[in-house]
Amino acid sequence: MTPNREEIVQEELMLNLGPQHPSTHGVFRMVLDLQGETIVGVTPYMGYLHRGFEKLAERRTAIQYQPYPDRWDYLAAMFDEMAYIGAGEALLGIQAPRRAQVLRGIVMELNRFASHLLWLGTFLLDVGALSPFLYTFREREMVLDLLMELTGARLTYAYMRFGGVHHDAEDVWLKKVRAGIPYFRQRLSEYRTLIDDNEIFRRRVEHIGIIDGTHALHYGLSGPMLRASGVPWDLRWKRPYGIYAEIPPRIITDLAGDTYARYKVRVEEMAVSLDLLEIFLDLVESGPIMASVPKVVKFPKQETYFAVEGPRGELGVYLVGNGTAYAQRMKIRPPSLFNLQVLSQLLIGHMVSDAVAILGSIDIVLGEVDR
Amino acid sequence: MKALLVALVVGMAIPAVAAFLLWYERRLLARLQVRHGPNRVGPQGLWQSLADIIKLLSKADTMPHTAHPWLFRLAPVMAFLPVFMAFASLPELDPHMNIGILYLSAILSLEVLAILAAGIGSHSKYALLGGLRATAQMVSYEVPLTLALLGPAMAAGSLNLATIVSHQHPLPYILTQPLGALSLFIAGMAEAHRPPFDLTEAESELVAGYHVEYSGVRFALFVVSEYAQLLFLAWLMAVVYLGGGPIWSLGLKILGTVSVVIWLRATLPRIRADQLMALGWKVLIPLTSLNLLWLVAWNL
Repeated sequence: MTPNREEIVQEELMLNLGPQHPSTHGVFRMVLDLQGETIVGVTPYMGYLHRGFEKLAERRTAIQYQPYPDRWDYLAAMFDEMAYIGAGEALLGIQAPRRAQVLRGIVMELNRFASHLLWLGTFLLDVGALSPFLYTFREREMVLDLLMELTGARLTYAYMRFGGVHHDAEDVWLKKVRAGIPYFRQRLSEYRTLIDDNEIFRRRVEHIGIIDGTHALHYGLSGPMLRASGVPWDLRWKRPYGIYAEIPPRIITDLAGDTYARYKVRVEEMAVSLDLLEIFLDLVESGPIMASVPKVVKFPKQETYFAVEGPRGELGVYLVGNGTAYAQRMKIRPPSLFNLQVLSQLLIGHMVSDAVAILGSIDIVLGEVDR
Repeated sequence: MKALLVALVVGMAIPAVAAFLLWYERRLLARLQVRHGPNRVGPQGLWQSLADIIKLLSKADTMPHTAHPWLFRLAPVMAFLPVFMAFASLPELDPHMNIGILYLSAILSLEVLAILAAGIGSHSKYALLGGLRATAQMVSYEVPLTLALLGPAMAAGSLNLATIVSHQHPLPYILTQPLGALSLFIAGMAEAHRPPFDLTEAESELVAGYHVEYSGVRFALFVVSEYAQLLFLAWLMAVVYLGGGPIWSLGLKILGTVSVVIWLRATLPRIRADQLMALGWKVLIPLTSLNLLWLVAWNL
């Protein structure tokens, strides 16, 4: 007996993705409601990596807290340091000397390049291409070697200090960085010829997870997510800090707002990072790397918000001082968390395979989302 | 008695060759990805697969308590058997099987049952999705696979694979029927769910797809049957389109085909389920039909 068409009950399938799923980039978890393979509902869960960094800022002196920001976003630690140190310097009224400013610029762009390299590899892994992951890790390893030579650590550098940087760069190191740039450029163009027009890749990522500029702004997106939707907003030039004020703007945008646009914006930003590195290397001049800073740093009774353009977007620190060495309150604005808000908006109506690609294109780092 | 002995030897040899292919894939893939691959166990890591098999055999046998007991246990065997049975049609093993192509396409389509059984029997959502995808994929790709095999059968006027080989004497069929050869290659890759058609076990989405709940011997059976299927399809390709030949040239042709398959794995991203269906029905079936029409026109 064949069942009547009305008698067939269609049920939604609830699929749990994460926190141990290989494509959730750490310990993110989302529960998908599926009809067949189509997503009809998304419930994200986070907090598996919560370590209380905001509260720690109230329980550690300003100097003691300096190495902590490295652990927010462990893939782009320089930006976390810059955000915290920058906020602290604004409160204390300290200006880092010029050589330190330039060195900060160099390490940040190196770090942005490394972070985007890791993103490129894992994003393509999410789409199902195995090899790019290993290629980009080879280059990332070289960048990390450079950073390790300067700071002594691969990921958690503790390089920036209130009023400057901790280690001075030797000329040999600067030469090494300069020598690396043409190599990285060549590799980057190699990746682009392999990936950009790959038929399967284009079909997997084009017209997937579209968000327009207005919605992107309303959701508070920033960084490549926002620029891929056609909004030319880059804090490096829109609200310049440090050495960036002297550099002519190079803001990459794309109008499509889909996953492919986000890929293109990030890849082009990697090229911009290399260009900026060359400019910064020309600006290096001899001089001190630390301003004179009091032995005991006490935040005055004021508040400030300082934001830098991290590889994932606007990374801000809201710092309130109370006249002691401890902060009254510190609030982090993690770009990954804000960019993640748009997830359910992007996913609904797409398929499970797209879910992984879209999540990859948001480029989250759970250390930063959960703090 | 002699047939039984041959069957026994072949039955032992296939897993060994499959294990070799597994090692070969890991090494070649590693070279393509600027890695070293397994190189510690034996010369060039050749015994790595053997060590893996011993390790898998000595693992505890686990089964999720929600799984369907006999379906779960049956699935690996069901995956293993049809692939092995398909080898019987190859001319090097049985030159007299005159229903060769009919037999092997019938036997190969049994493979989908195993994956479906694993998908349902595991009582896991990832396995279920993998099983669903596999079913849709294999049912769709049976058609172009069979159509692509029909070309040489028509040209040789026989379903016997040995006859097909002997008809390719001056020119192998890949030169006279390039469309058919291409379709057989693509459809074969999809049939064996090799990347970029590995949606059934898509690591980044479904973790491991239909065999996510399997471990130990049962997992080993799935892996061996997968590589045996790869071996079989490469062999079939070598016989039907590349002109077979003596054992060394046949071996080179098989290894060459397998190398291209591995190379594609290192190069291409994974295709999406609906795009896979579109490729099967809208591209491969017209291509193979065109191949048949071309054959008819050629022979008029």
